[in-house]
Amino acid sequence: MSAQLDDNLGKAYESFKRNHDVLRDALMASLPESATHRKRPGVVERLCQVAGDFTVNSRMTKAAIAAAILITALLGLHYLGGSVDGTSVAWADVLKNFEAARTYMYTREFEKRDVKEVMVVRVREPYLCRHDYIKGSVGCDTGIMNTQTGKQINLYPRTKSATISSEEGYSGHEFREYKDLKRDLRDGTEKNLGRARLNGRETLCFEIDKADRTITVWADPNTALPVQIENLTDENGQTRTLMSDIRFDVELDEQIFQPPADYCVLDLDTQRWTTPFELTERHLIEGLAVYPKYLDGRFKTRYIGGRPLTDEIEKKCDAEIEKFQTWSEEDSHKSALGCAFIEQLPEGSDWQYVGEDVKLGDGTRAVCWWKPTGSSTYRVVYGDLSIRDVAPKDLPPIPWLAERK
Amino acid sequence: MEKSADPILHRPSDGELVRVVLAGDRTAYGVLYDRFAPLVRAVCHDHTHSLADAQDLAQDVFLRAYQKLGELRKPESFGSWIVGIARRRCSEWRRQQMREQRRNATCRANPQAVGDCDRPEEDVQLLRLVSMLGEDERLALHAFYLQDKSAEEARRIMGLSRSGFYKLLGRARAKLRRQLAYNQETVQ
Repeated sequence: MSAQLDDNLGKAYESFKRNHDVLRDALMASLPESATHRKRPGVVERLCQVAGDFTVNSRMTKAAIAAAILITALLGLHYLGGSVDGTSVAWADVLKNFEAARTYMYTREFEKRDVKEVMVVRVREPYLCRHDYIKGSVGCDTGIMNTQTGKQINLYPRTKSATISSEEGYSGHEFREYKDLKRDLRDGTEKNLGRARLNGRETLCFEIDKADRTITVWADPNTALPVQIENLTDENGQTRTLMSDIRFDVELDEQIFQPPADYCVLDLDTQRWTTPFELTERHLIEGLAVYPKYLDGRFKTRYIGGRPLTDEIEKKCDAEIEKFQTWSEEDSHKSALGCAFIEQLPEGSDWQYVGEDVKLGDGTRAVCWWKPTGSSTYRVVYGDLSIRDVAPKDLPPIPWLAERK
Repeated sequence: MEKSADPILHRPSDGELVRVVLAGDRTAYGVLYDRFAPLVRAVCHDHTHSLADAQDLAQDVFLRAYQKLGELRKPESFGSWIVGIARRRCSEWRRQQMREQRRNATCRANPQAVGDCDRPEEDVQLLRLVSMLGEDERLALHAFYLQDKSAEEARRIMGLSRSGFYKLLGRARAKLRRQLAYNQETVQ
């Protein structure tokens, strides 16, 4: 048993040597140029050396001398009215603030040729990131990335809707950008450019010059907190990313990384909607009503079913899609909720769409129908968007089946 | 880097390596990393129960140690010093985790699973039992098995006498054996 345990432990401990070389290389690449050197002699020791070339070994003596020096310094300041501007932070202090921050937010400005984006980025380490566009949105207003679950959330406040998908999209970019920045800051190539005024504020300036980019960090000379970071890259034309209004360890509630409770959420992976309200016929009617606005007053050829797909029908549908390219976010949302109503109909509802070429306002032609659970009649929507109860034997003929006959 | 001054081990001592690093040779730190990174990962694993998290924490520990290397009073004690940093870093990590979990109980439902998927189940179970031992007992096992079963190296890291170390190691193994036997009985 003892030898077997010994063997088993030996094997189990091997797992701690896994990926060792890769991890070693990563660590070596991230080390600063040189380790901090042996602690320099303190003020007390140095003053003692200067004053009398003697060393102090007793802690009590050191404390007494330190107190005396402190009192003298305070008295000196009091009487001379001088200000203390001897604070000097090193790059290590700035870096330490970056490493220690568990949450941070900043304003990010991105410029490339004539593209300019401004957004506020909020991050909760180790896996939550949210950005809110202020200017230059390319679709959604807010993107949220959870790198632990790999889920991306886009928020659309105008329609109180959100999408969730497993594809890491744009909002993941800010997260990676910040992580890459931290890695670059750690690489030990920083140059201290000394004091610099930034928007009238005294700062300490550091520069990290990489092969394809230059990062400049302006830090507060007293707190070592970053004031502004500029990242200039020269990849397919110069791009400039500016981070300002940087705040570390701000309170960021977990809730801001989730869709708000009153939002309709579409899971793009399953194509399922979760709505904070019950989907009703009203949502279907509003969804159907969107299309005639873009299709010269006619309903869509297919809408969750409809005439069987042939090459000809496919071409017709593609032509319709072209016309929807300009539709508003609100119309898109209405259409989606109409689809969601159909999707949640229980099995046996016998959903049928026959709205192809039906004109809006035509109360004589049916657009679609379904049979509510437990009902002996169908609910039929007509071209004038009215809904009537119709017995199964009175349902209108399905055009393509009738054509076949 | 100067050649070994340790005629027995034919390799530079920890103290020598630390001094070389402080003199500006970063490569010497790589040697220290090779010597102690598996041990630091094992110490971190006691807290994280996840190999991936343990690896991340160990990286952070070595980075911090590098930045504080000048404060190490006894360069020869690098091993015990870095284990101390690892323990403090793990406590910090646990506090962070507790805060995270309080806020979002569902997010890390199964931290054990992270990075452990491709490890044999017996290894995972055995290391879990190790992590349930007392702190000194755990460290005795880690140090012994990750320092090529050299009791001399392991006892130096722990700051124990040779006999004191063997006593501790024996106790840790005995506890493990008892726990394993109990587990087997329970399964049967």
